Amino acid sequence: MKIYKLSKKPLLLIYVLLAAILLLIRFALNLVLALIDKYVPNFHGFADYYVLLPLWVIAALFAVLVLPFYFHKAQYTVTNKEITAKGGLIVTSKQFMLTSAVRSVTSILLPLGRLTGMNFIILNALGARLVIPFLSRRDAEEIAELVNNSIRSRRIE
Amino acid sequence: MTDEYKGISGFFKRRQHPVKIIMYIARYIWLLLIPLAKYLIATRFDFQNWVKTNWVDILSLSVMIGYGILRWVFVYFEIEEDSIISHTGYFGIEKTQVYFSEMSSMSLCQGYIFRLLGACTVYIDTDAKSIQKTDIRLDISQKQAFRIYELATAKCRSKPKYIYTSRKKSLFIFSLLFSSTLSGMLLTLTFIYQAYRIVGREIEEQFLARVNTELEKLTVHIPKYLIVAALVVAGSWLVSFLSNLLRHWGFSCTRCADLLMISSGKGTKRRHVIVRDRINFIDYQQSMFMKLFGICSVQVNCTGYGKRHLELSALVPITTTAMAENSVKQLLPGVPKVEYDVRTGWADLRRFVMLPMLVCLLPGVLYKVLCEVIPQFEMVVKTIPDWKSALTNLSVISMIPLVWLVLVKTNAAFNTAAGFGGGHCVLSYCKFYRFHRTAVRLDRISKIKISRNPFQRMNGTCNLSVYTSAERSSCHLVKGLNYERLINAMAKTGLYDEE
Repeated sequence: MKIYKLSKKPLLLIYVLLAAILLLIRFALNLVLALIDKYVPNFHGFADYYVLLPLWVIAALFAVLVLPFYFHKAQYTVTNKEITAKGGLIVTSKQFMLTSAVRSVTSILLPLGRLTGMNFIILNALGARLVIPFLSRRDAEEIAELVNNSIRSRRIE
Repeated sequence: MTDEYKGISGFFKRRQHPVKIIMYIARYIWLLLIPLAKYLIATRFDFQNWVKTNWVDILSLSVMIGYGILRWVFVYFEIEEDSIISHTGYFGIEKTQVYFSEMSSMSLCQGYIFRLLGACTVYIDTDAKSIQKTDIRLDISQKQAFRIYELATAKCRSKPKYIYTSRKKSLFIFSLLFSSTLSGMLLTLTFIYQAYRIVGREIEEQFLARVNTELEKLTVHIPKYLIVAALVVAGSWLVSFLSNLLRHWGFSCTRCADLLMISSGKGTKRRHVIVRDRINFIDYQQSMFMKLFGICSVQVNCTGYGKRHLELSALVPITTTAMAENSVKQLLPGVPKVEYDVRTGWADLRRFVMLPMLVCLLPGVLYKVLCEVIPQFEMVVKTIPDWKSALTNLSVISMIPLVWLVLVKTNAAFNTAAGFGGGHCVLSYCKFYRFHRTAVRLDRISKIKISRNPFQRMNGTCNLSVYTSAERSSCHLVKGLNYERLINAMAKTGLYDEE
């Protein structure tokens, strides 16, 4: 039974996105602070200390701890009988979906997905869905084919 | 096309009831019709002057009526021995054929007005759509609706039947317990909004002014906001209670062949047909009071049943737990009795009540904080001079449901369990204030999730979420189960692979 792990390539892209979001927040905050400064002097330092510092700490923890562990721990298996998903850093979880319960497969293979690893598979069942994110293009195609074959064989039966 | 649909009578037979024309345009027609009628009366039926002044409105009205008639002409249906075909959408281009053998549920609804006009609404649902939409909805003549009903239940002819009827006293208690202020409020608001659209704002303003005057008389001893809050809560609850009682009056459920036939309702008569094999799960529901008195209500989840506006999917509305179990055994003989593999108990009590107890402290903390903060805001103090007594009242009132929650969760610690066997999974859990005992067929489970937080990893417990096949995401969350025992039970059934 093959165990599918998440592709490490999207990590870099997520770091870039995170940095961009932080810079955007800094920029927006500067605009707001410039307005507030007119009415409340010395508010700048207060905002830096109470808003930006916690934000940077949370972002740093997210980047250094949560993201790498999430990518390291998440693993998926797909067989004719069931699909399992394991993962989580603080709250760990194991998910099981019977392959017979899957009604359709949605593949989201983004352009440049081969380079960025931004490929997603969504397994749709009645009343639930299982999302397998950040897969390498080959793994994503393989999982989609496996599940689609299982659905097809069910129809022939 | 069969012969019965030929000619003029065939044309009308295939169409929906003519009342549908009014239903298509009812949303907008009042906006024009009432001012036009008012103007006609004001001009003492001087038609010439009336047409000259209001020709734009009359033209718009004619276009609306024309639109209604055209839609009615284009939307039609055909009944066959084994299926029903409906042509819906603009110009009737959407053709849906549903075979009775593929149907999950069918509902016939007839309100007061529809009964007078000899019309009936038919809803047919299948498991084919995962979206919350009825496969076929038609407002047709009563005769045609009953014909569809006869065809859908044809396999029941000359077959033995088991009939469950609910006692009137039980239905009264059922409505009493299952009525909620929120649904009553929704009903009242819908009624007020519809009335406002028809009669205009003046009457609404007169009504509010009258209420205000009456309130002024009452506010000598009791604060106004408390009276308003109490009236809104009590009034909405009463509306919900009455609507629930009328909806389930004369409830009966008949098992025949592989079907369940349910009929109920005093004002609006409802008939439902449910295919037993397509039931997703059955759910015994109890509130804390019901648990104390040993009574319960059984609901079934089947595509289409109970999904209409403010409907409940009752199988046995309310009775004693033993009687309910007996009735379910007769109505759904395929559901085996499964023993629980994992249970919670005394050792888990602390974990169940810890969080609700902490939440219980919230109103007190908020009261303290607000008592410190409010005096600094002059405007608030001036506007509400008796703010301190209001705050005390509010924090005491908000404390009551939280203390009740602690009691409920204490009970939940001894009523949480999961079991697997006989091709079924049984789950007993408490969601907010309500206790659930659910039996799900294993092939109706879509997904199982076992999650553990760091504390649960330390004490060897976990949360089990079972997602069942249903139109909308339906998750049964069982908290605080022993991890090892749960895994073993799942492995025994083949739901969990050690690898």
